[in-house]
Amino acid sequence: MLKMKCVRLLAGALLVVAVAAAPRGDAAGFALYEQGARANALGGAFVAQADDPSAMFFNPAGNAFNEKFTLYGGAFVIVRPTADFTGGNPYPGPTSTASMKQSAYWIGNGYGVLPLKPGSINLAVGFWTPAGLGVPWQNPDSFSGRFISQRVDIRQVAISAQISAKLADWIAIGAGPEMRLTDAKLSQNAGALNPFTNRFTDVGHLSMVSEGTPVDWTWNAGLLIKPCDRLRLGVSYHGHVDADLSGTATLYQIGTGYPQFDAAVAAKYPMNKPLPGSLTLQMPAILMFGVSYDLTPTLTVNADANYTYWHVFDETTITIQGLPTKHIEHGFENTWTFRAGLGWQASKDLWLGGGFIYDNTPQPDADTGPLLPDANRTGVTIGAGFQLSKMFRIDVSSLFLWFHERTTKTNEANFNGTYKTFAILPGISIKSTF
Amino acid sequence: MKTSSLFRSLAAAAVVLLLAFPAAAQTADFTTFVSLGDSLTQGVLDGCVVEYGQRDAWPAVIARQAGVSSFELPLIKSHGLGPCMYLKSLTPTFGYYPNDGVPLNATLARPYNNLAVSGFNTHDVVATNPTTAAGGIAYLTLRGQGTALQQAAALKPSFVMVWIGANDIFSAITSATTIECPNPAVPGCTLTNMASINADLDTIFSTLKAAQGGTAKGVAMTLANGLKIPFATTVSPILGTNPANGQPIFALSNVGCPTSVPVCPVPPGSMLTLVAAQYLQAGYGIPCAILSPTDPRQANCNKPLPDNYSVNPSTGAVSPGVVLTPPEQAAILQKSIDITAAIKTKAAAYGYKVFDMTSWFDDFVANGRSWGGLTATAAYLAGGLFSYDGAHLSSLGEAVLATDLIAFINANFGNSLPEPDMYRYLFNGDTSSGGYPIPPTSGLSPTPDETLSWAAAVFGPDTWLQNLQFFFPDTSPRRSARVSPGGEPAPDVPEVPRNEPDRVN
Repeated sequence: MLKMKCVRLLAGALLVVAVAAAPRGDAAGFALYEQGARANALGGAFVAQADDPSAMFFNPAGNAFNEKFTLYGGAFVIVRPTADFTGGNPYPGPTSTASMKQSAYWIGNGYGVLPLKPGSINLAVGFWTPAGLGVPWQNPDSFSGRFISQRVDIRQVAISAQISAKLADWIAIGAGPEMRLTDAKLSQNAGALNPFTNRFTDVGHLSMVSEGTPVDWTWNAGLLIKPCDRLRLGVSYHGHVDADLSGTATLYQIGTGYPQFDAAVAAKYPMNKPLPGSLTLQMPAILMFGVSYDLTPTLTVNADANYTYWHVFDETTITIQGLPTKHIEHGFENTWTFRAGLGWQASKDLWLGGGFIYDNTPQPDADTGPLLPDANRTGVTIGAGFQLSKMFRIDVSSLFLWFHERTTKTNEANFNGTYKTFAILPGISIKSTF
Repeated sequence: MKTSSLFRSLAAAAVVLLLAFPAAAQTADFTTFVSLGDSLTQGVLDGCVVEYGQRDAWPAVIARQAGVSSFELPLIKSHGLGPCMYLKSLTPTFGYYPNDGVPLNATLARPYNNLAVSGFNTHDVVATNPTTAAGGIAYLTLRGQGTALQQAAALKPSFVMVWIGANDIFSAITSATTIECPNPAVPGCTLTNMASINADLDTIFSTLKAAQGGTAKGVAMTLANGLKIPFATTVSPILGTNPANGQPIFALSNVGCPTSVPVCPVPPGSMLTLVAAQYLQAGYGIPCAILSPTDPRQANCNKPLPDNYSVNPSTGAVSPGVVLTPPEQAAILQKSIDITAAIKTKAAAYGYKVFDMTSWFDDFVANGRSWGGLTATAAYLAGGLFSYDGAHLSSLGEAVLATDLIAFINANFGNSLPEPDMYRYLFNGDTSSGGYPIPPTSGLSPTPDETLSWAAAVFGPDTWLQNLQFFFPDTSPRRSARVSPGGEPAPDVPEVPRNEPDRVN
């Protein structure tokens, strides 16, 4: 009877996840979901399992079941073997091609869980990287999109302290405040028509770097339910923040070889001196649902659906003293992500996992461009965990992420073309239990 | 009975197929594409006819995008015929390339595909056929083989595009003189009467339709508002603000002055043509009171800007007026509206599609166009969409027009012509080999400081020169001034500035 009830609950939970994920996909954009190697091995479908300290991100309630002082941390590297652009008409035209630099981006995470009342109430402290963006174009001085963006780097780190409580053997909750630290760098060229040659030419290079580390606060919470032996259900939430960044911008003049024109440009714009600037980046809230079911004592299947409130990322306003205010309309839409994973405890010391991700981009064609060329994504993950001793475990995993080829025709800045990207995100985490 | 039923079924299926694929039946065939018009269609820019302008004229761009290699042009080798202008200084001053253009494609046996002729008005299309080289660019285009319309018809065009009528108005703008032409026209009138235009439009569209076997495959374009070209909008009649009373200081002319007062502020709402900039640069039209005693423009200050054109009785040379008064603007605008209405009515009556050039141009000059973070505007010199003569589009402007015409053709005829690649226009100036000609560097005489101080003094921060503020930031304080017109002897009419064409298109 109990087994039948579990099957019904599982079916109901899967139905909820499937229905949620059906219309759309992912939290793509510039949100990051790689916060633990084991979770990543399962395609990030970890909200209902949440059985290592990375539960601070995936589901704070999960740490309530932790009975020992535990540390867990690691890093991922993001590499893009392919990140290419081919232009379309009317601009920049099919002969315009470009690639992103083969840069590697590191993102880190670290968590600690301290049982306050073992088996009942725990304190967790940790950090992770919930958002990041790196779009560095090769040959930035000849890239046809250089008047929109040559390079953008955005990084956000979350730091949180959470209390998790096991209310009963079958239910736990967790929550805490969440601090976000954000910084950003932007660079682009400025162009103008040289009336002597009737050609547009580069007249300046604008570089903007945020200064200080603004602190923005939000909160997180989670609920984990074990309605029967094999089944776990989870839901968790991280709030949104508006990161108000201020910094310094400098517009460096680029000589054109026409002194009159250069003098006119220099008289028009504040060249070669630091200018105070500011911008606000809206980071979305995310609501995560998950279901986990033990098919056998050693084989577990997980399925998650994430709903990201991307609508907050509707416009970025960049204000630089002495220059026209720049409004960038983003028009992001809320999106669902679907994740699934299968974990197998192959032996006492070896765990294997695999997963699948499907993401729909929140970014409309109008916004898709050199600043952020997002696309729908399909990902496959693999990973393994090695129990080295009673105290130490190492998890390794990798995400192989195919950005669907995306051709824009209605870009707001009238910069259209086709973007192709493939990314690999290998990561490692080490768990120490005391 | 069975046969009848089958017949009905087949007939019904045929009707369904016809209804289902109307677009395919209307697809424009560019095999023999012919364009008719004036300088705006011929590809004139910088005041001249030259190969690189002709190859990037909107009809040539459309032909390229349609994959037509047989779209023949009456090419004039660089340095062109005009002569072609180049920019020497941002003041602005211009140099001129040698006026040495020769035909490159004169041996073509058949008529050219682009039969537009600089300076042609509506009547010229149906009536002008010069037979000697004295006919100038019209002869080089038509070669005595018949009128433009006759030659277009002889080609039996599969698709035609017609943009004519601007020169029935534009001489009123370029000369700042509105003289309605009676029927028949008399020399010196500047606005063609509608009876003549209506008759000629009938002839044009009926002849083309007949030559096309009645298909009437083509597009007619209405007129743009010529009062919105940089030639008419760049130079403001307001020279500054009187610090004593906050009132604007208007340029001086002799229009509307009280009796016995030879010079007075131009009427409010007046526009000055681009030619006025050269008069102002020499001091004409500027109240002496706003100039320092040592300013060299004192020699001509308090002398009026010419209102209407004048003819030197001994040489016959024509000096244009430069002041477009509100009544003159109204007459020009009304004529433009009337011609546009006639084009719409006549073209549609014969079955041709009509491209609303009036609306297109209003949007074009108001909003410009942007590509990948670069913005081109209608601003004179700084904007990129107009050429140095202030009346004709640059190659970039032609490409923008061609792009929107292609969209119109695709929408109305079911074609799928690709848009032009704007990259070369933006970064090479045009699509010619080597790009738009780089001007000679010698002769760029004024220093940047001289340029900016002159610009600040003459153009200043007033709203009238928003367009030029990019180049002319206000780097010196405006001199205080009081308007003190009148009392000065009537000035001599200055020499006609060199870059002033009698007809700019």
